[in-house]
Amino acid sequence: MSQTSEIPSTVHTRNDDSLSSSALNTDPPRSDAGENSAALTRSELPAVSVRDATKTFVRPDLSPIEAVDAVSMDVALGEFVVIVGPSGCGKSTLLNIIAGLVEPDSGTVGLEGDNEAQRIGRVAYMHQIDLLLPWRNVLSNATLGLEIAGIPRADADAKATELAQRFGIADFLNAYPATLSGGMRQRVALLRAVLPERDVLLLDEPFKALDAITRAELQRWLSDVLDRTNRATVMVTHDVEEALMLGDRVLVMSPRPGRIVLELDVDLPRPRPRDIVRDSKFVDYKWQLLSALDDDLTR
Amino acid sequence: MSSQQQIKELTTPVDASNPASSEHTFAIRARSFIRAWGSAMLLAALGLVLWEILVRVLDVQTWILPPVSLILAELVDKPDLFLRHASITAQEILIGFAVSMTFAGVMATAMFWSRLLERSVYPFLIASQTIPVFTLAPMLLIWIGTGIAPKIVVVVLFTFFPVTINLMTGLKSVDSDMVDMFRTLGASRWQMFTKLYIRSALPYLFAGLKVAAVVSVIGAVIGEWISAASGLGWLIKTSTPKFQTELVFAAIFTLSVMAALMFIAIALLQSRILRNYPGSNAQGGES
Repeated sequence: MSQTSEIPSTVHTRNDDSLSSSALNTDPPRSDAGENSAALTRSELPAVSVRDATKTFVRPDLSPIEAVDAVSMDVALGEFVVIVGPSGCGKSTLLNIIAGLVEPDSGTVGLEGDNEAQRIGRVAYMHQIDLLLPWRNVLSNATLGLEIAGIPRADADAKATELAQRFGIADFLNAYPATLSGGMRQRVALLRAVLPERDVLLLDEPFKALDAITRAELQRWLSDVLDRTNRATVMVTHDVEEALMLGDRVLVMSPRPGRIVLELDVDLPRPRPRDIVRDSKFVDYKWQLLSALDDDLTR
Repeated sequence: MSSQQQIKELTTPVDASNPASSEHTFAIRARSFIRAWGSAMLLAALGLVLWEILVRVLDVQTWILPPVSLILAELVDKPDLFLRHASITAQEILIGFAVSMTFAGVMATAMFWSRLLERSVYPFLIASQTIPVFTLAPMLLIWIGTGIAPKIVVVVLFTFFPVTINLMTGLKSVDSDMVDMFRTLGASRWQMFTKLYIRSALPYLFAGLKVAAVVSVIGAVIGEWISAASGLGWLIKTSTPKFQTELVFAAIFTLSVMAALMFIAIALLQSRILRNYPGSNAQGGES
C-alpha cells in the first residue's frame, strides 16, 4: 500500500458512518478472507483487487496470444496506480478485464472485495482515443453517462457545467467535437468518464495521441483535477516520466505475456511541479523503472 | 426582430457565431451555390442549345426528335395536363417511398436484434433483387388490380433494397470501441441502439435514400406502364404511338425534374441532419 496523504483522510471520511466497527479499522484483510468481508465497510477493502488474472486470446488459424499472465494487484480508494510497460504487453487487456469488457480465463477481479460483482457499468473507463460522438456537442457528450443512468437532463447539464469550469472546457460546451483540438477532446472524454462518479477510474494511455507540449500540460491538469477526488484510479502508459508525475504507485509490466515485474511506491510530494524531473528521488525512481523495463526487454 | 434573428440562427448554424446581414449571407450562399452547381448547369445549357441547333440544322422531323423549344412550349401550353399527371405519379412515388422506408426500418431493426432472423432473411433480400421487376409488374395487375396499389408496390420493390441494405450496413459498421465505451457507461442494448447505432447508421441511410429517390421514379413509371389511366408514365405510353413526341419528351423532362427534386430534398435533409458528422463539409461552430 502506498503512503500518500489522501489515504488516511479517505479512510476517515468513509468510516464516519460506521464508527461502531472501529475495531476493524486496522489492517484490512485481503479479499481472500471472504467470510469476513460482509462485516467490513467498503472503504476497508481495496476498490479493485485482481488475483492471478490470466487471459489468452485464441485466434482462428493463428497462434494464440497470451496477453496477461497471472497478474495480481490491489488499488485502494484515493489511490492513483500507474501501469507502465512496452507496447503490446497486455496493459490494455488488463484494463479491459478490470472494466468487465473482457473476462479473464482464470483468476478473479473483485470490486470492494466482491469477486462476483458485475463490473460493467460500475467502472469508469477512458480510452486512448476520445470516442466522442460527433453528432453531440461537448455538453451532451459529457453527460452521456448520466443520461444512460437515467438522470434528468437538467440535473446532468448542471453537474457537467459545474465541473466543466475546472476541466477548462466551460467555453466550449456548445461546440462540436470536430471543431476541438485533441487536448480539448480528451478533457471532454475524461469529463464524460468522471461524471457518473464511479469508485474506479481506468485511463488507457489517455494522452497517447497528443503532442509533447499538450501532453505535459494535460498531465499537470489531470493530477490537479483528480487529486481532490476520492476514487481508485488505474492509468496505463508507456511513458515512465508520466507514470512518476501522476502515480502514487507504479507497476511495471513485462512484454507479452504481461506480468508485473516491479511494484514501486512513489514517495513524492503533491502537487508535483514540472521541475520535479530534476529531483534526485525522481531520477532514482525513473532509473529503477527504466532498468526494470530494459532488463525485461533484453532478457 | 429578435425572433427573426433566432430563426436565422436556427436555420443557418454556420453563421450563428458571426451574424451577418441577410444580403451578405445571401451573397455567400449564391456564390457557393454557383461554385457547386455552376459548371453542371452550364453543361446542361450547352447540351440543350446544341440539341436545338442540330435538330434545326439537320432538319429532323418533329415526330422523330422535337427541338427543345417545342418541348418547352408544350410544357408551357399545357401546365394543367402535366401538373395533373405529375401529381398522380408523385403520389405513387411518395407513398411507395414511405412504405419502403418503414419496411426497411423494421427489417434492418429486426435483423439488428436477431442474428437468427438476419441469417435466415438476408439471403432472400439479396435474392429478391435478382427478380426482374418488369416481368413481375403484369402479375401485380392480376393479384391486386388496377388502382394505385400495384404502382406503389412496384415503387416499393425498386426502393426497399437500397434503403434496407444501406441501413443494415450502417448498423453493422459501428465502431467497436464506441460500443465498449457505451458498455462501460452501463448502457442497455436499447440505449445503445437509439443513442449509438441509429446515429452512426444515418450517413448510410441517406446514401440509400438518395439511390431510392432516383429509382422510385422509374418504379412509378413501370407501374403505370403496365396498367394505368393517368400519371406521367401513362402519358408517355399513350402519346408515343400517336407520334406526339414533344408531349413524350415534356413528360420525360417532368419526370427527371421530379427525380432531381426528390434527390435534392434528401440531400438537403442530409446536410442538415448530418451537419456535425465527420466528413460533412458544413460543421457547426465553424467560423
